[in-house]
Amino acid sequence: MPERVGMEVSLAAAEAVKLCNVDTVSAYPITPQTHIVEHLSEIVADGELDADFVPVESEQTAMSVCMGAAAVGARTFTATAAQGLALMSEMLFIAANMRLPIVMTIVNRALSGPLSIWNDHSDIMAQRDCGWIQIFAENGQEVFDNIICAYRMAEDRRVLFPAIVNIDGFILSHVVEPHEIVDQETVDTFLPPYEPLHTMHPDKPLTMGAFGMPEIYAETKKAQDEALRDSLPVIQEVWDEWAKVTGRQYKRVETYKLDDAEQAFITMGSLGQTAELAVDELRNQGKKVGLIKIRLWRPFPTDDLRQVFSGLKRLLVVDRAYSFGALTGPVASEMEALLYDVDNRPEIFDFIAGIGGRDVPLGSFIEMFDVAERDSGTEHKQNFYTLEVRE
Amino acid sequence: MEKHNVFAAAMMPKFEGIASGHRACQGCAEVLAVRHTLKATGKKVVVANATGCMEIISSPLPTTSWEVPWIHTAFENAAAVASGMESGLKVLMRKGRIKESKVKAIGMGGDGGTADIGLQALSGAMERGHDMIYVCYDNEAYMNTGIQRSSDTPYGAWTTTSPPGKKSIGQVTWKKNVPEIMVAHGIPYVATACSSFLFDLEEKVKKAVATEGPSYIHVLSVCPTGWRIPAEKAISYGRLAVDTGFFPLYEVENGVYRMTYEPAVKLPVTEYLKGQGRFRHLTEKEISEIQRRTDEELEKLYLKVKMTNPQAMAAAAGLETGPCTTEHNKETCIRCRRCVKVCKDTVGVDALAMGEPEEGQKRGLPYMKDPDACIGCGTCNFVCPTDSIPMIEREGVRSIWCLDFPIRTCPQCARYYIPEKQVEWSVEKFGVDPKVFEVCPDCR
Repeated sequence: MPERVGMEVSLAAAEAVKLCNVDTVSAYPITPQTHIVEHLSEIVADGELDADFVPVESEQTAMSVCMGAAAVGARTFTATAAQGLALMSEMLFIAANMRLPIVMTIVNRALSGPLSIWNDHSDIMAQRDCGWIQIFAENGQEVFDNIICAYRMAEDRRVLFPAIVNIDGFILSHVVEPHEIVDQETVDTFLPPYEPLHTMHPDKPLTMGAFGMPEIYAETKKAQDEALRDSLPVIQEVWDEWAKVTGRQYKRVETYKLDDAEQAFITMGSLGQTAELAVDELRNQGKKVGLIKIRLWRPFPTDDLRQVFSGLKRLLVVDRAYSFGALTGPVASEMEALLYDVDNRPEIFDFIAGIGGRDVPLGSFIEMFDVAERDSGTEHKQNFYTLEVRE
Repeated sequence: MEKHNVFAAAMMPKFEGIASGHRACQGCAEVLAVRHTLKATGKKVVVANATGCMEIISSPLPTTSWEVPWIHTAFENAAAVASGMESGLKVLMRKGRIKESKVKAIGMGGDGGTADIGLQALSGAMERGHDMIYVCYDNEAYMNTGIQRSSDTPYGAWTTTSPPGKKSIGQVTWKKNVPEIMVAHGIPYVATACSSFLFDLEEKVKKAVATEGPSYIHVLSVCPTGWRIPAEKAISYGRLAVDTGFFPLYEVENGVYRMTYEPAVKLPVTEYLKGQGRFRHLTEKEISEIQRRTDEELEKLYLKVKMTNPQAMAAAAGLETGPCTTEHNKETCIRCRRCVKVCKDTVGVDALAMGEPEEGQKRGLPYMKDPDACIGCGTCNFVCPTDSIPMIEREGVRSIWCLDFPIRTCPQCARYYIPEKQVEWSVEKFGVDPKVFEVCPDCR
């Protein structure tokens, strides 16, 4: 069992990247991602990692450099947040379509305006359909583990998609937590050097990034979508392998005290930790409450969720982003769609909370529960609720 | 250009990096410039192309015209992707994951992808010092989307978004000087080139390939479709752009400016403007303004050439005499013996020899063993792969190996083309009819 060391989560993320023996790191500074790339540049400067650190002039270029490097067969890493992710947006879709297995951490932060450096999920939700594998981490250990797993998933020839590991800005990225830092030998065995299928090299000239006329574009898109869906079992397989090595088992959807539950919260990211405490609290009060945590957001784990929903009467979805003008927040919207044709479907309550760094303490979960109790089955039920917001 | 009056098109590399059968317009000189760029680089390259004409004519899925590794991702990021490939290749070679070899990363884009939307990515890549080349194929507007103005569209030109009207003369801004912006980045090699001067372009590309670090080449690429000229006039108009001083050909090596081609007679800009549909609405007033500005810019450029040449710099540094600018460059010479061999075996003059190797060297450096035998033909300069044998032609004299040779000026096109001594030698040794040399090979 490796030693547990206290470390800031951002630094642990950088250590994970180092253990993956990455070849090219390219990044542009943006709060709250900076600690990850600062630590990585130190690691490279000290010669602990033989990589090229390319300090670029924008996120657009950061992703472009990663695409170029991945195209010649290098293992690449970048990290960003909010505005940086938005500026990168164009390249995200291209990287996914070109099947370049880049790994990126997004230190989730609210999108401007007004400008906010604080945490919510509006940045990643705006890029929901970019075609990347999207994982949400709940704590520092999950960040560390999932960066390593993400490379293995992305580079698997049955997958070949870029992957995002989401880390909640500040409330997760900047806290010091105990981490089990896995040793290099274990990582090397788990994650062998990247063996690309095709590379840009004069020995075998290839064309990458040709354009698609209407008679072929639709086929490429269908193939891309099917390939991403088909990666669902491989993603689980990688996590199962990781469990064999470290004893830490991850699933696409996690549950907490759900077995006899009648109601369940749904969270993504670090809020899961607070939600667990809220479940305990409500259980102490005799309420049959459980928790569903979505770890894998894309490809969407439809079947896993359908299974865990059975027997539930009420779902309390916590959304951390607005989908302006829509029926609900983005996560609840998926749940509505998912449960539409299910018999005895649970009633869905959507709570948009924790926007732009607004705290979501244990009490907020209790309040969500109470609001749902109050409005359930009544004409007062709203499509979504905004808690802790002045009107 | 001067070199190719000695040896002709037969010397052009056979390698083709872009296959025929692509979908470029008739008379497209941009694809011609791309073709000759790749002839000069050879196949040891990886190319990142910006979205634009060259991308859209060459790569409809599932076919491709590219014979070299080629990637296209987006419009504004060709320089960034090329820098990423350079980074990846460098690290993978260092780590022994792919075999060590010299592979040059090349970014390519049009004037829009370079001077407008791609300027930031280009600036970043050049500033970071990647070992790469960026080539801008400037056809002076967004031709791919249907002739919209860019910051590289010349003053007065019609485009679909700079139409002349009651309140406008067309494009109201002057062409953005991207080569000068690149010079300001302090990169080792910057050059301008033109699709009508293919040997000159090839030489510059070769120089860029040999340069360690970032190089930038700005190629004026004539676009008959967008300039509203007949397809068969593409080469003529490129020549006119250069001969009128509208688009001068020069290079800047480590801050030292040098004209690579100087028209013997500078033509008025009207020669270039007339006949182009995009300038047809211009009045005397605008034309004289364009003439004034062209002269002014050219004057500035000549001043830079003057101020940065080695003699001037030596004088400024208080040195009595500057270094001989036509001395063999010992720093860049790779001792390949090509100059010695070609002088003896191909030309039959035998004026050069290899010196004694210094300590730790397998071979010595070439030197001029017989100045009396040298005819100043410039073949050694032409075959030198690292351009270590400087040759300068000005005021009727060709200087090479610190020797001066009076040179003939073509009475038809006014270009320097052959040293007097080479004429005498050819007549004497091979009995060639002296009349053959009365005009240059191009005008013969």
